[in-house]
Amino acid sequence: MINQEIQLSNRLGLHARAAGKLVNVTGRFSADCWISFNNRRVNAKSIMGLLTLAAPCGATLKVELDGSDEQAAYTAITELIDQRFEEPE
Amino acid sequence: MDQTCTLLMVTHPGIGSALLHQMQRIFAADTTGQLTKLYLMEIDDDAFGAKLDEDFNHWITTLDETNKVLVLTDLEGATPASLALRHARRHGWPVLTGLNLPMLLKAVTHRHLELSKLIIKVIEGTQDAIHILYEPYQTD
Repeated sequence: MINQEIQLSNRLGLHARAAGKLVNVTGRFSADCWISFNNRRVNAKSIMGLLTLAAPCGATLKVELDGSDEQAAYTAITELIDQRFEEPE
Repeated sequence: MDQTCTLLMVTHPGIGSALLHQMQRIFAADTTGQLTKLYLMEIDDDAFGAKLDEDFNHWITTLDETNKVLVLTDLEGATPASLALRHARRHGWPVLTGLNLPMLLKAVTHRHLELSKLIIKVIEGTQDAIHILYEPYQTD
């Protein structure tokens, strides 16, 4: 079980395209994946769920992963977020 | 065998293409095939006649898959929905109205489900997406 916090640094926060990219990443892994923000916890494999977080730039997301490939999933998630979802600064 | 549901959008001009454009932006890095088997036909409200049915029927025959199909249309009773319904009935395809971006997102991301479960998921998800996000007025 992985339980970590990650900060969003892309200008638009967790908007639709960013959420789509995140779902593309989480969907590749079998581990259960949950993301929380502002006391709301959603399935990180659901784009609709992620969008309801309305997490802006600077938001600290709590990431929970549970499954055999949780470490690989966490690495992929942090890479995507650290790269600001491949968006320009 | 590919169990992904084919999605047919039948809408008024501009609506389906705008939704499709947004889906392409959201899933720009599509690695899980969300945008495959997603088809669109836009129909003018004043379109009618045998040629329209013929064209629609021809379009259907060009699709890859005709077994597991869900038809999504925008406005019940309008020309696109009526046309879609007419043809869907012949093929035994379910038709949902009220197409919007949340509905399309739900449909696309749960297309692997059995058709009856997919329909429930899409309807519930779309209804959940309609709520008051901000209410500035106090009401008793």
